[in-house]
Amino acid sequence: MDNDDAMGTDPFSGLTDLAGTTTTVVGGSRRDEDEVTATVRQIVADVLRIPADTISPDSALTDLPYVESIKLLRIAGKLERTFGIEIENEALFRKGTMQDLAREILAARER
Amino acid sequence: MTVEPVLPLDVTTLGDLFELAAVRHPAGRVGDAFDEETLSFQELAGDQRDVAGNLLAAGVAPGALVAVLVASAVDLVRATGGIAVAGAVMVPLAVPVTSGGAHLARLRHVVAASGARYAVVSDQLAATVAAVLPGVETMPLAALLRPAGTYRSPAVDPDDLAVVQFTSGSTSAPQGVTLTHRNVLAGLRALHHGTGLTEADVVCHWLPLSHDMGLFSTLAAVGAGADVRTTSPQAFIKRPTEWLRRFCELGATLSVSPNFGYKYLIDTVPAETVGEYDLSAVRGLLNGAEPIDAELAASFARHFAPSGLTPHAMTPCYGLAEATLAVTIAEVEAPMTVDWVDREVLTGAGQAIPADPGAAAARGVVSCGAPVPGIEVRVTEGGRPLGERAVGSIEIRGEAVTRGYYGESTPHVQDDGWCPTGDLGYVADGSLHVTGRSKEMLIVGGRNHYPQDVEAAVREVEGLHQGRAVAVVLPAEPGRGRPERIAVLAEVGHPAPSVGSTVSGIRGAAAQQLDGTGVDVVLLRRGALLRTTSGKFQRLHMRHRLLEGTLDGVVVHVPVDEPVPAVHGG
Repeated sequence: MDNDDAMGTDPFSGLTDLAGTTTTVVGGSRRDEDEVTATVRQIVADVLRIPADTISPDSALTDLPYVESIKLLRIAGKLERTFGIEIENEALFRKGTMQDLAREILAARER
Repeated sequence: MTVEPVLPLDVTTLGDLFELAAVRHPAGRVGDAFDEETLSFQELAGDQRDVAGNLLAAGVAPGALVAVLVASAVDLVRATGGIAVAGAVMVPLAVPVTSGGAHLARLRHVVAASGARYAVVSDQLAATVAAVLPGVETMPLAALLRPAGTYRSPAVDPDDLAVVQFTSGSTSAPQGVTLTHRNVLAGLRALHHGTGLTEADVVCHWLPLSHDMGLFSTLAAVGAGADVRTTSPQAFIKRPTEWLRRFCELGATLSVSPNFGYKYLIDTVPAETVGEYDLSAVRGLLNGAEPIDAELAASFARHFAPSGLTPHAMTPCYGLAEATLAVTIAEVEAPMTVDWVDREVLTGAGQAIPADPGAAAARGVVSCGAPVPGIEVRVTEGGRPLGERAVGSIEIRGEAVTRGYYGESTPHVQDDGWCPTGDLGYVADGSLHVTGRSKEMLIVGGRNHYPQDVEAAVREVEGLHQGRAVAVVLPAEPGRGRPERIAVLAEVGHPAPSVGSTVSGIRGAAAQQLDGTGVDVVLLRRGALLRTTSGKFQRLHMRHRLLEGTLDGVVVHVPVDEPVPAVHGG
């Protein structure tokens, strides 16, 4: 069994840095970021069932059509499996763009 | 009909329930479906004695309210019996999904309203909860599970409070449904009867135990001696196929979920892989807590037929915290009944007149079955009971039904025991049919959301005229692929702001409140929000005119199924 359900048993890890900042250090090159952004857009498009080319790198998740909480978690599940990382709920529910998510993923891969 | 109840009548408190389970079913087990590790019912009884002793030692007095903020369902079950044996009252609360302001504000609001001075929390949450809830004594579960030694436990009367279940948004007044041990045990027995639950069953679900459906389904399984496997909703949503695989491996016979959970499985388990799953052990899949899709049972049965699923597994039910849980349950393993009625007469005259299922005006209303033993159901209008097929307010009465909300000044439950549910429906052939709600509320992913909370959340968005915004619930428009949703109507300021950034700002702020769910945004000219002569916003009137297309002063209406304009190239 893979262990990407760590967030399921502890989906509140974000709570611990209540007072802290959510700044992430960007790892990897610009090219990595573009590739990850493209994958993120594809996964988001698949879950929302909209064409990927209607999503630009600076689209915020909440700007997109048909967004709802279940679909965001579905997106998170797919991203976690694809990249072998854990995504904090914070990153998902805050008003972030595709690019922000890609940076989050790159940072998580560094950890 | 079973002669002997699954749960003997001399079990009169939740503490008794765990002790009985340990004696009768020592090897029964509770665990997370994704974990190898499980706890036996014998271990649970040991935990309950330690938790009770440690709570008493910490000064928790009989009748004290104890908030429970525990992420793991198994841990919550371990705390439940201990709180009961100590004579205290469990207040299960949803653990915040994020540390976002909306979630923490909701938590603070509810705890303040309850007046709870103690909180049992998951170990990893202890520090955070202590910071968020000053004045509340935070007790990590690990400390409560330490051996308690000997102590004197207080006498617990069946009519003492056992659970207060809060339902609330962050701005509306929280309502805590009070349940005594007598209520809860009657509710669990009703579940046993309605589902035929016995020790031979394996119950597997992914509902949070902070919610009545998850909590009492789990306790009913323990009381019947059935193994029970839980999963967090997040793990289920993120890994639906792995969850279903575990469900099969565990030989699950019963599950319970709102409608969307079943629909989600159809959407996420590809048809060509269904044959890899073995669902032949399943007896019943209870479907409740949100409107039931008339087409769903058939499409679910068709989709999962290659897994050996019995064709009539889907079992509609109707319940709410006010009834502990179950009010009606359709017959398990019997075909689901859909009552086809004339849509116009239903909404207009409030009568359910049978119609040809093929007719354009026909609406299919799923039968939720007959009342469970011990519960009476009636449909009223203006306090007057109505006959069959007349739509009105659903009211309930019985041993499992609450006596009222916590600390309320005006009684919610009438002297003769009838409790309004806030839902609308009719009775036909002795079965309850639910058609709508009398209060404005949106259910997304099994969670209740209130438009007032969204209204409060968007007020600070830049571009609004003096923060003027109202939120209403719009009905689903299946033809256009639009779900039931919230619409925000907002007046824009002067000079006119960018439509794209204002709509984007409102969607983002609303999403914070709705766990990411999108809303319709309607921007209006200044002064276009309609008010009564006393200055109150006319929400329902505006909602009606918006749906009709006759609302004046609309600058732009961006429905939830469209992207925000001019924010990106699409």
